[in-house]
Amino acid sequence: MGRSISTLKVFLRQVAIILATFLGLILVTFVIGRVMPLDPVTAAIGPDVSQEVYDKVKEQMGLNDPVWLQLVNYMRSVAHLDFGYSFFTNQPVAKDIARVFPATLELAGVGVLIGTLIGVPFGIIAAVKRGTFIDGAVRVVMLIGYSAPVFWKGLILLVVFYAALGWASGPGRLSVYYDGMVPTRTGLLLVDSLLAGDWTVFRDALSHIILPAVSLGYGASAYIGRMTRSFMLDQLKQEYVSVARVKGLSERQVILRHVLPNCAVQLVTTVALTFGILLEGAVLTETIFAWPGLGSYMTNAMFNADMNAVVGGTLVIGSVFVFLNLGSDMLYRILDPRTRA
Amino acid sequence: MNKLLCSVALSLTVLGTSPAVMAETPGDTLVIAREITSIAEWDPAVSQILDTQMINLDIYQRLVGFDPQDADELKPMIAESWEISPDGTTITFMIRDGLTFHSGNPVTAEDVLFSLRRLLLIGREPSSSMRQLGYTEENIDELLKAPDARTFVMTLGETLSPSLVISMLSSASFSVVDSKLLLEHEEEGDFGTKWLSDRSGGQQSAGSGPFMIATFRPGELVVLDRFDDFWLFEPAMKRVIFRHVPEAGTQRLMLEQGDVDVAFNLTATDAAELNEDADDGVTIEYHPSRTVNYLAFNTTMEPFDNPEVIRAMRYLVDYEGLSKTIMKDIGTIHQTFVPKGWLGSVTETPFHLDVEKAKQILADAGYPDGFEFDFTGYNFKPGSDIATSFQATAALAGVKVNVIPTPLSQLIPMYRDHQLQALMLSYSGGYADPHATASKFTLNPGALPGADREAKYPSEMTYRVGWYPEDLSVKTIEAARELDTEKRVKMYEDLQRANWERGPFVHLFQYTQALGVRDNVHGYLLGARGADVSFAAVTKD
Repeated sequence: MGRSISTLKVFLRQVAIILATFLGLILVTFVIGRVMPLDPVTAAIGPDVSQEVYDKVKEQMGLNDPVWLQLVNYMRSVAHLDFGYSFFTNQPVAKDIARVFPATLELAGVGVLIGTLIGVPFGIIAAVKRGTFIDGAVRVVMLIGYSAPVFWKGLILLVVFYAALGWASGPGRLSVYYDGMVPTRTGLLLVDSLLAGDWTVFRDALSHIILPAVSLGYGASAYIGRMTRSFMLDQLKQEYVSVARVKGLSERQVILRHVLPNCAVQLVTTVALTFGILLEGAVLTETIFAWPGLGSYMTNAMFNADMNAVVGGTLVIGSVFVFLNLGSDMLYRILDPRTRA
Repeated sequence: MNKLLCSVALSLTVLGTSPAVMAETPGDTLVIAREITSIAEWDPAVSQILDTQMINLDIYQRLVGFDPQDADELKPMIAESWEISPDGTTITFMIRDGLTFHSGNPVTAEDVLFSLRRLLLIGREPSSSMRQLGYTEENIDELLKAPDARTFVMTLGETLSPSLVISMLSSASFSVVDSKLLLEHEEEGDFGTKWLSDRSGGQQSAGSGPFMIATFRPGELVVLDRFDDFWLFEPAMKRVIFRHVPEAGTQRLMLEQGDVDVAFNLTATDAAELNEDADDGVTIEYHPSRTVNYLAFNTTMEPFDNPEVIRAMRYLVDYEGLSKTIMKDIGTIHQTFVPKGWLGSVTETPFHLDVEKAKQILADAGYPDGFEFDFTGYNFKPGSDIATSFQATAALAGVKVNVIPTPLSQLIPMYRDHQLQALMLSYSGGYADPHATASKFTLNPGALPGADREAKYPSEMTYRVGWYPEDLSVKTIEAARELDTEKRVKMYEDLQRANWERGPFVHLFQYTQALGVRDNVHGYLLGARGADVSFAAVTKD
């Protein structure tokens, strides 16, 4: 009984935190939309219209209403997932986001996969070989991945693997000739092409995603690797490691069976947050690789002073962060029995 | 670890065997890399965006237009012929028989009437052309008639030069739309504009041009399919695809790799390098655009209420220096508002950087020690670089320029409200006739005899800088009405020179479009007037 009340309390507290976060997010985005020194009417209809048309459109957009009424209308719309119309696509923002978000999700997903597959093993090696030449080399490679500008990495990858060697396809998600060949089910091209059993499209999509995903994944692997190394070093100092070694276990068994599972909890959080950062931070990568995702969408919206789209995108990314945090919190609870008390 | 190596190896194998890598574009498809985020609205009666208009020229036809295979002069298109009444007030168009829209509906005089009416009545930016022709909501039904399916009679709201009228009718705004189709999708008397602009489902286009929109994903992709029943000829390209590639360096790589046939937004440096390399399979074509940038000074604010001060500013721009550096390969010196290549354009360049002369003019005007002013500039290159250069050269004459870099969306509302003391911007005329720009730079409707001086005309540059030249405003109207072309040319030349003498606008450069084209692509049309674009005549070896 006592335990279920405690669980209920935790749950209610989580719900309250989420609601407060969303409210804050909505208020911040509303203020951003109003204080930006941009004229949404000009953005919507262009600079050369007559005064009459200008006034009419301003009225239609509700910009003559008092600010509190605009806020109430805004909150009501957001509650219905209605972020208004985007001027630059002439579509409801929610529909636009539903169209572009899977591209970003797919890219960030493959990116974080690459980042984890490279970052975790290298982090382990660096920790185990601490202070040796290997540790130094790994750390230098990680440092470059972490600090090199994204656009530079992207362009170098394109110049080398697309232009010079021709190993990978160029910008975009798919060669234009394959566009529309597989039906959209999830919006994730790799998944949709597999579901359709179309290997040609799958190979083409994979060949397109690999460079931007490596560009993102290299940066992510640097972060994940550094964190893995640090978590491992913390664990390697613990007594149970010495006990395991004294018991005669091989170094491989000590690392893989005892140390690594104890780092898993922190690693899950690190990977989840890295995924969130990739979702939001793929703007430059998407621009360089002409990747039609949320980053490109938000960039275009900003250049077009399309505040509905900017605010809608910000809300979506904010929400994803909230849920990723929540998700990693829950995983934490599952993986670490101590947090359940 | 071994599993990791296996998966990397598998991925490389898959990539290595990918047929898509290094693919050439198909022979019947033209692939264009381009920045296309400005394309949102497809309705020709709504969009004034150049990128949209360029594509709409191939989606729709107009009464008159350019033959993509021979673009030297305007030709009858939907109109087979026309007759102009001796007094120039009525034009009777004979509509070509047998033309069809993409929907299969026949093109009739009724469609022409519907298109021009909706252009005016929707009332968005392109409707200003209809107003310039003298049409209002009150008189339009009186003045435009379609007595039968093949006759369209256009009585002008006021006397205007036929060459001006014909030029205007060839612009994208005057596209003839499929009235039956649009009426089927009309909502609350919107002339079908909502339906026409919502292309997410790839509906049929409402035009009759050589191409129709097959797919449109905003900020990502536009696919045009050939219209097989195009009457003039069968375009060689079955498809034209615009891929949104925002990064200029990426466009260059894709062009060099042959993944695209045309790159639209190359940087001047990339274009120059590709131009020098003869073996890269790429040709660079330089086309003059119709965009001219200018400085504007607010005549209601000191010290620019004194025209002499503005005259001095003309000598404080380093035209030659800029054209060799910042504007190299992207623009040529052009000091008037009528672009080169247009009727009546004055191409001489009498102004040069002359600090001593500027100092003398300023001293005579009562500013021997110079002055200080706020200069609002577009926060994008090359505008921001030109502003910096102007700041440096003006300082030589003791004039302190406070450059305020500003986003366009913020600059325009302030300019419309004539709040800015001085600024830099560019302008592209909506149709290739000198009236398109003269009506903005030398005509202020509020300055005409009997006009209301207090009324707002925020779409005219003259109004935006508080300039009310009555004589020039009258002359601009007279030039538009002049029936004799030679006299008309002379009148526009006078107007351009009058701006040099006492106007508040200092025009600097006409932009150049550097187009990267694969060697096997021929017939890509980007006309001399910067407006006559077509993909219909493109062929590939």
